Amino acid sequence: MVQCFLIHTIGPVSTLAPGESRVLYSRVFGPEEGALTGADSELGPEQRRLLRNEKVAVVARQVRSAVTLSREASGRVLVETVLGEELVALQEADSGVQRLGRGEPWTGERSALWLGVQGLAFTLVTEPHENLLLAEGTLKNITRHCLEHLRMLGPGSEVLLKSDRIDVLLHRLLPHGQLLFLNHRFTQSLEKELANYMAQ
Amino acid sequence: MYSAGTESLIKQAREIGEAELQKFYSRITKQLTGKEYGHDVIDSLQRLHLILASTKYTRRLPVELHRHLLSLCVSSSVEQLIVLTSAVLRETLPPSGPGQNYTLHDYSPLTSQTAALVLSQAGSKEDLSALSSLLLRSLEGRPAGTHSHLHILPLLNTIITYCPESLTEDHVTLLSKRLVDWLRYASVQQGGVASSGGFFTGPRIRQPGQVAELDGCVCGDFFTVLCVSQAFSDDQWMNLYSFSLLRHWLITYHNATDGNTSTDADDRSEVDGSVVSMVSATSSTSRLLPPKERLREKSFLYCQRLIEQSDRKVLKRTDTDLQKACLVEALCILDRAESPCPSLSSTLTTGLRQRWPVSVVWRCVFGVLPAECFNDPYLAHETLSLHQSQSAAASHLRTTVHTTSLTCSRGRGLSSLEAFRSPAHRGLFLFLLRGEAGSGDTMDRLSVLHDLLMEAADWSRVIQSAQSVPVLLHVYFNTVTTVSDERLLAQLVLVLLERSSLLLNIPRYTAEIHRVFSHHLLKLCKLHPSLVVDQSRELLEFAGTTTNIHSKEDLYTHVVWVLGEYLSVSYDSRCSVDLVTSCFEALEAVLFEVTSSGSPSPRVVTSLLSALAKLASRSHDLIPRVSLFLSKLRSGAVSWCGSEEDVVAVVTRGEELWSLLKLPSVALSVLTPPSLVTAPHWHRDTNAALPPRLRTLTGLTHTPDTHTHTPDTHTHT
Repeated sequence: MVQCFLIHTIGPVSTLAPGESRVLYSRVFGPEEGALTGADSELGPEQRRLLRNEKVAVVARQVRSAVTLSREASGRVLVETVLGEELVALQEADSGVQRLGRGEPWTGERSALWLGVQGLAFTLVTEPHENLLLAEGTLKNITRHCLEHLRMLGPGSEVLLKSDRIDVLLHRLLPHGQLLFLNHRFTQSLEKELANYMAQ
Repeated sequence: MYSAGTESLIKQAREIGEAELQKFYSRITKQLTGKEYGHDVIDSLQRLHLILASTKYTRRLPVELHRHLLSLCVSSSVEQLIVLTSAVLRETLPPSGPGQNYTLHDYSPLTSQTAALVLSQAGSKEDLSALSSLLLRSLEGRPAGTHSHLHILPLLNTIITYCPESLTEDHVTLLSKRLVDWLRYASVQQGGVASSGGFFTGPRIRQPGQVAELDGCVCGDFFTVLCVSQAFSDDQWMNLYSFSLLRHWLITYHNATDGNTSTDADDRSEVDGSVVSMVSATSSTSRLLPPKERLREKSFLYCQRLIEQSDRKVLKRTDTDLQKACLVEALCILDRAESPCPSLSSTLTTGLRQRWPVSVVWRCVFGVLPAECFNDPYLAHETLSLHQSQSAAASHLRTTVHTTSLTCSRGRGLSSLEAFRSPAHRGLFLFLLRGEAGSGDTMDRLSVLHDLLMEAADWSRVIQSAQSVPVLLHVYFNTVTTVSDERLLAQLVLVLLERSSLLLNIPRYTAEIHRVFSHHLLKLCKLHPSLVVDQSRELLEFAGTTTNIHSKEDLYTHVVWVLGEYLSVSYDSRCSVDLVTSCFEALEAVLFEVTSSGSPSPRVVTSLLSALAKLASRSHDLIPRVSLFLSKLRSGAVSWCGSEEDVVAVVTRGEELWSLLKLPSVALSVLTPPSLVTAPHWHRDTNAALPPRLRTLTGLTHTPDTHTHTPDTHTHT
């Protein structure tokens, strides 16, 4: 099961401190764990939401470090792509998986799979013994759709103003955080429904 | 990609003024009371979502607006409105205050979106139980053929991830039955193809045809996720959702070692029975099994079918990845159900143990896998978590030390790739990657290999790993020494000595590694002094090789020190006089050699002198030999010494040792002190402990009152 999906910056942002990451989109599936384990059961709903957002920010920062380290080590030159070159951008993307230990920031262990496309990262946080092959494929698929339908290789801000498109995408490809074993026909069926929505 | 425009949009959304915000709320409320919902409503909702989501603090909406949004979310038929309103509601909370009590009822009839909303706002286990009950009731209530849209299975999977107890035993039984139906008995007809009859539907309904396998053949057995069709029916979608959560479901509710309740004890005998019945089950006998066991049986069948289907050659390239993922999942399920161990290790052992002995499997996992797989981040991640659960200490050490070289050899654009291909060098590369003992002259020719790799020495990847390796080694040694297995530690000492000369010549790298090795050699020998006697042959060989003085001074002085300190019968009864003598002679030879030709560092000389003195104190007939050399020092025969300071240091040490050795018994107790001296436990000694005890008691009982204060002279004894 996927705990959350987020899109966040990995390059420097002028209004943020170095090392910080701006979260452009985040979706947490399920309730805030603190409410259930009794550890934070005295927290009100506002505090729970705050806690949830803080945890997402922590993951964004961790992944940012991981991506930076990976890119430095690989020594590859970043290829700039523009609108229309989404498939190239995806091919050039770096990927990796980062272990989030206990308390970092969730009580239990998690794995954070990430895909770094130029200045942004697309991250899936899963349970520790998740099927990584399936998660990797799902992440690539979601990223491709995001790049295409939100015109993310361009300068616009659709990722902020048309975030309902990401919601619908996740609703079909990752309903409530469930990774699906979709063969090409199942995928085609879902993508047809998506295309209808995106055309609006 | 991420522009200044986007950043300023976020800033605006965060910093919107209160008055402006209220005006915006009123405008949207008015828009939502209208009948038509045009693009401006969509626009407003999108902006509202941005405003709410851009800050981590929660903004609450006016009551009326919230009510409109909820009503739209629950009852609208326009998907975009449903998605937007539920996104907005997720970023806020129900208004607080009198009369504002939102219950589950307000979100009915449940749809996938409203259920997600309820789930995200769940504040307790009771909330989750209530939601799951509602979901299951709607499962019963819906006509067959409309289940998939509710996403009941994904929702339930999320709920049981956080709170497995939210499903009662009855719920689990009910769902087990439904899962069996969906997994094993989904239709094999292509779904969703309309009949061609039109309004006057006669018997001319077009036959939809069978679903197909991934290689194009007609489906030969029951429907699985690896079957394709033009369109899918509802129960085929449910087949997909069922398999997607199956492993997690089985782990949560079919734990074979769960012996908490008496019913589970019964389950276990049925578990054993069903493992046998898996192989030979017929449908008639399987119907007699209870629902949970039937699900288990059908799961095995499904997985076996997937394994068979994974062999087929796919027509669409993208399906190859899915086949692999399905294969992994199927193996995990099959393995998991047989043993309670959740790690990949048991999957490997189960899958492979039928063909290979376990030792071969482990050698593969710890030898080949790290070398082959660390280029693939996903496989490396899995292997790391696997290694964390097992120990393979010696091979780990070798692999870690070689990481830097490995990194070099794996780099792209390595021109010496040609060298890799040449048969002469291939053996060397394989030796490096295997971490096994080389044959014949492989060790000597390693320097050839390192020369080849030097062109990669300034790659950032290589520098990074050169920086990490010493740290990893520290951690490794700190962990390994807690395992007090002497045999293993003896092996580590050997690896230390051997690999210290087989390092890639990157600035500071070699020095760092030597420093780490020296530090840990000391620690190891301090913890287990008998290691020195045990490994005396190799240590002596190392200490006797004068070239080591120049190439690894740090490590050399430490080896000399441990020999001097621990080669004693008080640390190990196997230490014979002959051993002490041969060690003495080896060190003496080195000392003579370095002082007669060349300029050795004073540190090396003083450590050799100290070691010789210590050894001599244990075997008194050696004393005259070392005293002779020391007296020469006193008379100033230090031509080999560099600076004035060095001369002083060496001569002073020589003096001290010479004076000490004039009194052999004193020398013995100073240079080979009994453990009582080096690790005092005065508080345990009956006599020595009394004064400190009295002092402590007085301190505790004596109240610092100014009227009765008296100096506590009586406690000094």
